[in-house]
Amino acid sequence: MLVTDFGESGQEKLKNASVMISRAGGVGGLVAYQLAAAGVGHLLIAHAGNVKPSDLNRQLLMTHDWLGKPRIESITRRLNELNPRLKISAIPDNVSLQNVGELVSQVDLIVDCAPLFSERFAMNAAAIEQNKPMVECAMYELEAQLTTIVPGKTPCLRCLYPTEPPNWTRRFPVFGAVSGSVACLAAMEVIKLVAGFGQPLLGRMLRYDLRDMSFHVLDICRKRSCAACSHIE
Amino acid sequence: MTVRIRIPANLRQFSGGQAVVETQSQNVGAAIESLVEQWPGLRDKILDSEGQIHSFLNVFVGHRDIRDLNGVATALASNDELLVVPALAGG
Repeated sequence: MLVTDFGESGQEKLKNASVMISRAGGVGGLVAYQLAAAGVGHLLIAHAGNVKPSDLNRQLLMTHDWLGKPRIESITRRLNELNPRLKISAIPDNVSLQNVGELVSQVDLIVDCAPLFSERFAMNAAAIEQNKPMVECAMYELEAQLTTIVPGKTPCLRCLYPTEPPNWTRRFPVFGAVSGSVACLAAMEVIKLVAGFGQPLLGRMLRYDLRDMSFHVLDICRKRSCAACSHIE
Repeated sequence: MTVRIRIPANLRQFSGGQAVVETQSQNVGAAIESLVEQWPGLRDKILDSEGQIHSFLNVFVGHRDIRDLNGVATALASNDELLVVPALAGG
């Protein structure tokens, strides 16, 4: 609250905000943790499956004692340890075409942290249909990308990438510090959007490589040919 | 003129591990062609069967997307940097 252009009104806006995060792994878990710490009132988190040993190098809401048990329970437990006043809608499934509309309808904005393009494109379509902002964050190895999508005002995910790369797999090289870095930046995008201060990455994409600490802020534009959002004025 | 092409991490196995490749090129298309001639394994990773840049890759000159400029005809100046930015979904 000591941030002058955030203030008490900004904190109140966070308390009244509802944010969907899919999934809460290396990126989404840290987004959730930062938003819980910042005082966001309601998090809807979708994440299926049980905790595996390979999760533990980056997914900081998963714990060793919860191996073999549902991830969503570990996520909920860890977040409530930090902030017991946080309302959590815990969804033990991943986002799909079947559930995405219903999930998105319950929140003010979305943070896309999914490891599969099918989930990312499903959230992109629902965000456009329901006119909800979506913070888009992704990483690979020591690289990361971040932008904030506001339907009709900024490029959507399909404007940026009309098709998914054919060889993308759910397994990718990762250090927790890389996924955590873009997660913290994404959480800050959410805080700025909700509280209405600062300059979110609208029409801009941050791309960086922690291998050589090169950072670029790139201009990105809507595409008239976009199959997802070109119909919006 | 010398330009630098920044190769994304997921394609560096095809550029001998190099993150940056230098070429002598007047425009983006020539720079890409020079790159894939130096590193043939990159050709089908960057270009489709018709020689177009894959839709899941964006190429920037400085901070501008070449698709918002003149595409592969976008002229280059000495010391320009091209960024190849792939679709990522790591979460």
